[in-house]
Amino acid sequence: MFKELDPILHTPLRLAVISLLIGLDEADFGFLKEKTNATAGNLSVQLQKLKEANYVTINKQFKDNYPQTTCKITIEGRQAFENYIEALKSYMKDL
Amino acid sequence: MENQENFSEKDSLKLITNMLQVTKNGYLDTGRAAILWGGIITICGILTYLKTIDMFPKNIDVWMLTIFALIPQFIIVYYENIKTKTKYFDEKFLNTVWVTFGISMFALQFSFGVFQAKLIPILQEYKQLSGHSSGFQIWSFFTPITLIIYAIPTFITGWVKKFKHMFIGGIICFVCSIISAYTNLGIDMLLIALSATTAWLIPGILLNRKYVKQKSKNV
Repeated sequence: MFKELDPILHTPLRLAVISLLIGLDEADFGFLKEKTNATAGNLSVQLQKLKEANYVTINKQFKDNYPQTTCKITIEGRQAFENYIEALKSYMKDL
Repeated sequence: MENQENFSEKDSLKLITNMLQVTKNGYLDTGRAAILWGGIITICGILTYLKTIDMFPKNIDVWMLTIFALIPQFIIVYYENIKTKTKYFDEKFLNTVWVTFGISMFALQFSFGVFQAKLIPILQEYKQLSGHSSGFQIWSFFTPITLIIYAIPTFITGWVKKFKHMFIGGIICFVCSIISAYTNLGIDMLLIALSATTAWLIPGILLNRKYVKQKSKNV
């Protein structure tokens, strides 16, 4: 019996972002952009969707004239990622 | 990454594995702080040894260099923090360990200073009564404890980062700590210099080389 994969996470860019954030305390926008090879616009849109699902928090600020956008995974985000992995396992068994 | 069509479960797994690998191997230390402190402590240790054999002026307190070294240390931390806001769990944990080390060193120096101030009148009284010096020097107790405090964060960093040079440096600090319990102040200072070189200076240079190499690859 296949478990349903979370549609919020089952897209390449959002899954990549969550997979990165799971191993980090926090990450800045530039880092996520570089590691996912995404465009700034697309990354912003996908981060917004993750934020709306309450999977990440986004903090925008200016520090010493440098704009800073940092992202952090939430407890709900961690739980969703774990559930996604569990669901993925049920698919892998049949491969 | 932006193509959502035909994103299979197999692709998901591959993507997750790749991204986890990025964060696993991502944290690169510049090694600058290790070079700075390794260099400073090595110089201070050697100069203090030279003082004990009258080859360097006794009235110059070389350990004041460690206070001046705090300025470049703050600059290093400030610019490295501005550069990136991405924080790895390893980095956060190790920063806490090294801040604890800094506080411990300050507390240790402070307490030994206080003990010494209390002991001086007692030792002077002993000299007056017995007619000879006791030969007791509180700073001879300082080296073994200092080297243990050097060893702990170095050993932890080497272990956590699987960086064998720093791990070995930590072990050398522990060994030097034991040896320093049997040696005089001059040799103690050489042991401190040896520990700082092997625990911080050499690993720092190696880390910096790795960092520069990695950065030039990314450009």
